[in-house]
Amino acid sequence: MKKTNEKSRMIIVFEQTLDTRACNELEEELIRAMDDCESNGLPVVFDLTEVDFIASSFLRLCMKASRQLGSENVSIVNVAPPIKKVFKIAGFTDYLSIC
Amino acid sequence: MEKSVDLVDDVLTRALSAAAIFSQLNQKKTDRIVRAVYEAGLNNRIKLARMAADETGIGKWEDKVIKNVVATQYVYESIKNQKTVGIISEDHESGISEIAQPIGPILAIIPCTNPTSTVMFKILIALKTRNPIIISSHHRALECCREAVRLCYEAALNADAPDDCIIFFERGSRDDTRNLMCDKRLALILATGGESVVKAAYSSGTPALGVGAGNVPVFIEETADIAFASEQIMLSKTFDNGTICASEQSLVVDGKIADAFAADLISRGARFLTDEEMSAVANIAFDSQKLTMTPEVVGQSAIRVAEMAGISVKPETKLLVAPLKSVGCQCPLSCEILAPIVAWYVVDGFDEAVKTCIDLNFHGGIGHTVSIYSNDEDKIKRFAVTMNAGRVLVNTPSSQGAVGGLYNRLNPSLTLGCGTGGKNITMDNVTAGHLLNIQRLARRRVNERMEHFDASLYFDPEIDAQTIERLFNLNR
Repeated sequence: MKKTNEKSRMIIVFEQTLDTRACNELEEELIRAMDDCESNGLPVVFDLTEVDFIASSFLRLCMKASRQLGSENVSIVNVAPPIKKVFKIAGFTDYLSIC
Repeated sequence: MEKSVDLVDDVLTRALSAAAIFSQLNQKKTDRIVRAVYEAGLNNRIKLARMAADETGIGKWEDKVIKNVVATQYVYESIKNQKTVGIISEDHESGISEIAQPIGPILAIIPCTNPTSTVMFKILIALKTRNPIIISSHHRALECCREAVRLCYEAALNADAPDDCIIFFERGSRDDTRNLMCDKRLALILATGGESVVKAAYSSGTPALGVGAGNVPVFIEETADIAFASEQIMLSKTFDNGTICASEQSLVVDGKIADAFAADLISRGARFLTDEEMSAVANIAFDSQKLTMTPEVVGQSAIRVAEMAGISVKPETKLLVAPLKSVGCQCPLSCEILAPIVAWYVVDGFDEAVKTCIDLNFHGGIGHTVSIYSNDEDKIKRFAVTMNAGRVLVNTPSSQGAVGGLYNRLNPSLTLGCGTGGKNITMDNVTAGHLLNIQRLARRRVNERMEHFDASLYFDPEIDAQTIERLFNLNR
């Protein structure tokens, strides 16, 4: 996970397989990043360019971010088609920007 | 009401997430999960059987072990090599490839007669098809089903299954179940149970695979091996004290062999009832208001049923036999009763036997199962085509025969479809294949006859059907 702070937003780039183990490892860092965004009033962008698998834990992290920052302040970008389908089936595309 | 909606919303949100994650798994990962769950189920077959028998007070734990084995080992064997992910078949000639897609969250309704076995069976076929499953148990079997779910879920997670791929529905009220059934996020209801729950499933607006009631007639034809038929029927009808809906309900015996057959049954523990005794048994076994069996007798032993009816029987009695003359609610023991009670009809020849079986088959058991003991292939076929039954079993104990895998090559299943007669969409033994959406990738293969046919002829009022057919097939 790589974090980039821009003036108007924070971009987090995730790597390859976001299975349960990977999610557990990055959870603390992600929570801190969300706290930063909240205190600075910044929206967050999750970049999934390199991601080929996500586990339930990652869906929960996305939901958590959405609740903390507001769904309008969370966007998920550069998703591969199978990952787009995952978000679609789970119903996340109803309230999050996913492209 | 709000609380109920919250509960349903929570369950379905979790199930949808599981469905989403499941969609990424390949065949190998899916099969690994299925294997882990099958092993957990089979390893706990005895514990779960004892729990089910103790909690429900229905049937025998030893027979429930066998049911658990069928639901795990036999079901696993039948599905383990099945392709259920991605492209499952390709036909180059037709240009059609079939692609298996999961259907989404499934609600499984579990009966109290076969609780843990049905739980494990439904979990296995759901996981094999990458569908999350929500288990809703009969209130008399909550603990054993909860434990079966816990064991299967733990094994599934250890094999890297998605979180919430198996959910035990801790229902609080009828509203919860109704709201869950009606929710548009639910993909399918897999309903095994009594008529009311199956009807509720079909009425919910959600696609449902249900079952119908059985009232299984068995024709013992004159060429049957008497001792063999008698042994098999005793084995089947007393199995788990008659709780399987495919168990024999009526014996229709050709008069030429009736005495010998009756003597053989008696030697194996059958007890023929007198008219007075039949009335006494009917009073405790049949609810004349609801026109159905009473729950009190379901899965009780023959001795216990006799005791409830105030009848004195020998301690070795295993089966109560009721000689009847007609079929219908005026003869309560001709109706389905899931206990070791069986009706007995003596008939004159093949045609009379088949007519009696038709009456029984259509008296509450349309589409379910019928059985014949015979060594005359012609009569077996004539019998089969006359019946309305998803399973016509030959020289086979019907309880074990209908569930498949043990005595024939039917798909092992604890959900037996009864076709439209039983108000079901399928007559099959329901299995993994029923839980998939099959997409067809259809490549261009133009119909050559259409290409060579002058389509303007369709607009000529003088051209009739025969001419069109002739010209259409001219270059075939």
